Amino acid sequence: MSEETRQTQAELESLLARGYQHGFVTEIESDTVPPGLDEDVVRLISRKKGEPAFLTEWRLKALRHFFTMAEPHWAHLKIAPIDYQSISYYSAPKTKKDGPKSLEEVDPKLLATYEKLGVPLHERARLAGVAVDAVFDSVSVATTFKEKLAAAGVVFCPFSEAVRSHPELIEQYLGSVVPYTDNYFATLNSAVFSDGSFVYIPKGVRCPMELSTYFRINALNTGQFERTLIIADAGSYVSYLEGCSAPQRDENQLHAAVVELVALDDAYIKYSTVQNWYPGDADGKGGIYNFVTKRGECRGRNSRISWTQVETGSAITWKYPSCVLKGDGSIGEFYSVATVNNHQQADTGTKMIHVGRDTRSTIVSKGISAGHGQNTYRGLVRMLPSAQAARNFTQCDSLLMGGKCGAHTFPYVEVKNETATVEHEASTSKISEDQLFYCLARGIGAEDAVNMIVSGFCKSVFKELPMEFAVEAQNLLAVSLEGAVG
Amino acid sequence: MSALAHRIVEESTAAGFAGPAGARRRAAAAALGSVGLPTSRDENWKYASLRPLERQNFTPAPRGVTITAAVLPAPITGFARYVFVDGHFAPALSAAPGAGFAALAAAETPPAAAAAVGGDARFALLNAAFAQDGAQLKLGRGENARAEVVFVAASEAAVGASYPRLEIELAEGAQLELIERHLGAGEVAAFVNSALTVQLDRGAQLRHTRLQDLPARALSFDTLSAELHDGSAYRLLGVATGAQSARSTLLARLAGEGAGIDMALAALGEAAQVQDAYARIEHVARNTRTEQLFRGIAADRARVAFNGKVVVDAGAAGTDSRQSLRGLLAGSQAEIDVRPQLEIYTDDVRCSHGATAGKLDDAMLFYLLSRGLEPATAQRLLKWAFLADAFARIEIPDLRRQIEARLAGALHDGALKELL
Amino acid sequence: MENMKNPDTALLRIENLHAKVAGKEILNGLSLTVERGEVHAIMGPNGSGKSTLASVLAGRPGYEVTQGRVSFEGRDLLSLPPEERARAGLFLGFQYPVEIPGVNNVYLLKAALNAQRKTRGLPEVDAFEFLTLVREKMKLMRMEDSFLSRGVNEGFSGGEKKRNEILQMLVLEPQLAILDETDSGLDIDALKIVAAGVNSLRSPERACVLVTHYQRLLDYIVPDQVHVLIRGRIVKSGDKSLALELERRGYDWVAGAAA
Repeated sequence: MSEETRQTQAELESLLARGYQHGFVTEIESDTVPPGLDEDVVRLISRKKGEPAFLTEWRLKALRHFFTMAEPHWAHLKIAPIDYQSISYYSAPKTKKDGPKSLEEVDPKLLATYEKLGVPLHERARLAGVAVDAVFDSVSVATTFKEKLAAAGVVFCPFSEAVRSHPELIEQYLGSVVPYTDNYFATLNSAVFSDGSFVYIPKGVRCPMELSTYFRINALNTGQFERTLIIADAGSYVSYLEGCSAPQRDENQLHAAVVELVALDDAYIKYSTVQNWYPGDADGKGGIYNFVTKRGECRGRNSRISWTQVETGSAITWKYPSCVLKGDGSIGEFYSVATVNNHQQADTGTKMIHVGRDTRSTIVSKGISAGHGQNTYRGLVRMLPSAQAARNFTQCDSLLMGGKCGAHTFPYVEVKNETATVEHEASTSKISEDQLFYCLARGIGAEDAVNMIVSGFCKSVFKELPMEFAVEAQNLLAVSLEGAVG
Repeated sequence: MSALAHRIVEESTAAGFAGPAGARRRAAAAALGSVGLPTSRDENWKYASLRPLERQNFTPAPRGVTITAAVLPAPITGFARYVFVDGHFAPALSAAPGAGFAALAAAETPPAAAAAVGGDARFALLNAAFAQDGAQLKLGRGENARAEVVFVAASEAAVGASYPRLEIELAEGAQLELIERHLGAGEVAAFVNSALTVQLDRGAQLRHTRLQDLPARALSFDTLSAELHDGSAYRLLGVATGAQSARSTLLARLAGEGAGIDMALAALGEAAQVQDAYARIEHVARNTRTEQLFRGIAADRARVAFNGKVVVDAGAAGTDSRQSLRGLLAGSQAEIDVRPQLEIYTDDVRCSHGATAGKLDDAMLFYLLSRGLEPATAQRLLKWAFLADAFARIEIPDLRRQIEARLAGALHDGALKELL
Repeated sequence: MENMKNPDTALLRIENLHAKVAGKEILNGLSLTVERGEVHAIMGPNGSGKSTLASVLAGRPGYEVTQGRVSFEGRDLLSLPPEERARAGLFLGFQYPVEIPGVNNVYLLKAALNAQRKTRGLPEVDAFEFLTLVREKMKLMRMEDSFLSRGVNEGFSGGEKKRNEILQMLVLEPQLAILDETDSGLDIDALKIVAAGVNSLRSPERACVLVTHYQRLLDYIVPDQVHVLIRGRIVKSGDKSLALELERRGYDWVAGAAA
């Protein structure tokens, strides 16, 4: 064995040993509601958060509706039965008062958790120019850069705080994009959501920095149900990043989030996600069930919503970040990389609903399957009769590594306007042996070669991510595909 | 059991068939009763028009309705013709049985086509529950034949339904060239539910052209199930222009190594027509091939939909599959729905698909105008060109002329004939 | 000089033409007169508006004329739809001819020729006459017979597409041919063939406007006038020597002089 091969081998081994890096548990005292779901639990959550009556009522309506619904099974997923009564719907780190008023009051153990995750909350050690809201289990623990943002008129705070400080905006916009009746998991979220982030960008303001929320599930047997609402008023711009992780546990944990975006005239929201929830172990034990409803409404003329997601984690991912293009000339975009390895399953994609005239949408989806992973792209492009001269382009590619994984492509193209145009292209193939051999012949190790080829495959999506995230996403991708090629 | 399924079981029982065929019918009816007919909430049925089934009379049309030979299209040279009226064999209009053809009366029909189960094949069960006659085309090793089977719907749905049934079996190396037509004797509002099965043994070859040209008020459902063994080849061209609402279901299994299917479907919808087709091709064996092409034009308020699914099983290494689905909108209230789907469980595959929906290409249109062509002529030419990929594969000149003439009619285009 | 010409005899007269594409003004007061029997070359850097001019004259949708007028044989060209411009005898040789699979080359040629003859009150050509004519022209363009049965430009190389454009021109015999960068992407042999085709159509009755980047084409098709187009207007005109001078000194030389 040459020196070089030995080095590669060693590197490979260390990579392989690395596994899921964010799987540690933080020992912290939690205030956790006993498992179970009924009106009392919902009232309790609402009371703990000191919510106004309209919100308590809204939650209760959602809960009542939830009990009339059946779990959806149309996705290409095998889901172990979920006992919704055995989940605790609220868990918060214990604090002396309602919550930390500043970073100094945050439990040092929590700060350490985020340090370990690479999300330093101290503003001095921050990621350059990124304001962070950290959500630990069900509640927001800290938001950085509040003052600087306030000076620009930007509101960026935990959802529960926004309920108190901006109830009129919450009442106006909550559920206006994803109504509480929308779908099983969104309805559940509407009843029991605990916290999340709220963003309001005033008219004409370009948000001075990237906004970021970091979600962390820590407590055992808890679900996490955060709710994010972003409103970009006329002519404003915001780039928002979302990161996620969870400890390594043998049980499946439920994450059912809802994200609503509203873009008014000429506003532009760029929403990026790097999802790295615990995927379960190599045998498919444990891992997060990630059932998320994300939808943006381009309400204003020439508004634009762009979703970028890198999905490497979770045992099961079920999410379709979508755009409703109501405003004439509005633009919807979806850029996605989804990887599955071991026994992970993903059913993800988007919906582009074209309502207004001259609306445009672009979909770029890259799916990578390895191990026993099953990866499904599901996407709907719908041109309504009002969508005069609307256009869509979709590119959807899948890469397969190993003979036991699956890659599935289920697009829906529905056109009811004769001036609209939809183009969809897709390809599925295994990782190119020619490319692999070319890299090997140039002395590049197998694992690196795979990473290079996969990165190239995903490039058109990565380039949509803000710089810091693009690097993180590439690293995550490498980790998630470890052992994919022997 | 839904009210509809319940009614089907009752009607089937009331039709009262005795003997082994009766058993087959009862079994099919019972199976259908337990799964029920699809609704538009079923993923693979969401674009079909299923409402009219609620008030449908399922009892078969009576035997012995006579039609004149005038309703039949001109014969194609070299093809033996077999005619069925409302699903019943009409020997007077047919060639003397030969080259593997057998008209099967109910009692002779083999017991329940067990393959016809599962959600997608429910209309085949409906056929099995009611069909009285059928036809079999069975070729022995290395034999070859050319046949045209014409199914004429002559009765109003209120009088009785039509259940065409055709079983094709080609032994090793056999070759069949088949033309299958569905048409009406006059403008009858018929209910037609046909079922076809295709069995291709090692190296067998089937060339199959099917033309659905039912009257404008007819309701049509058909199910084609095909099983392909080693090295067999199935080339299928479907052209759907007729019926108020039509749904075609094609289920093919590439069960033998090196088997290949090459299918092209063209569908034209106008007025308030619904043309819906679903094709599921399952690659079971190694080195199997699929080529799938769809070209649909929706005019006026018509809905034209195609859902093409290619499934590659874990054992089907070396699969090669291509889908090209294109829809053209030619009416302000028209609708095109296309779904190219891939479900893949192994890595040694090369699969691709492309789908488009939209109007005629502006650049092409301008090019033709800049050469002095009338806008109407230019549009007509481009519509024609849009379908050309599908028709390029018709190798029988007489048939090609017939199809092109029919399409020229469907495109309301007298002038088009001039260029054929 | 130009305004001294008699407006009634000019084949093409463009006056103060302004045109926008996607809201952006590309032509900015362009004037040009082409007499019968003349060959004009329009040269200019990328983005100067050369192809826009060709498209506006042929009536391509999406090009908005905001000011000015164009007369062709004394008629208001801009009021005509594209097909009538073609039938009136104006031919655009496309820079990027579109592929139209499924529409037969020979069918298009025949339909185009008959559309034109009909406009001129001539009877349609019969199939034999037509094929004889096309074969003769194809020979000139060194095109193989198989080409006839192929789809319009379908699977053609860049050079084949350009030759096909010239073939169409030869069959249609337009009064005015506007050839938009017909020379781009051609090797020297193909260039000679194309040039021979264009030259074969030269006559005292017809005229030709060559839109090109390089003077190379003009070695084979010698122009009567050369115009330099910069930022949407003609800034300099001259004879063939102007093209040679441009080749030597570049467009900056004219642009500088024009500024």
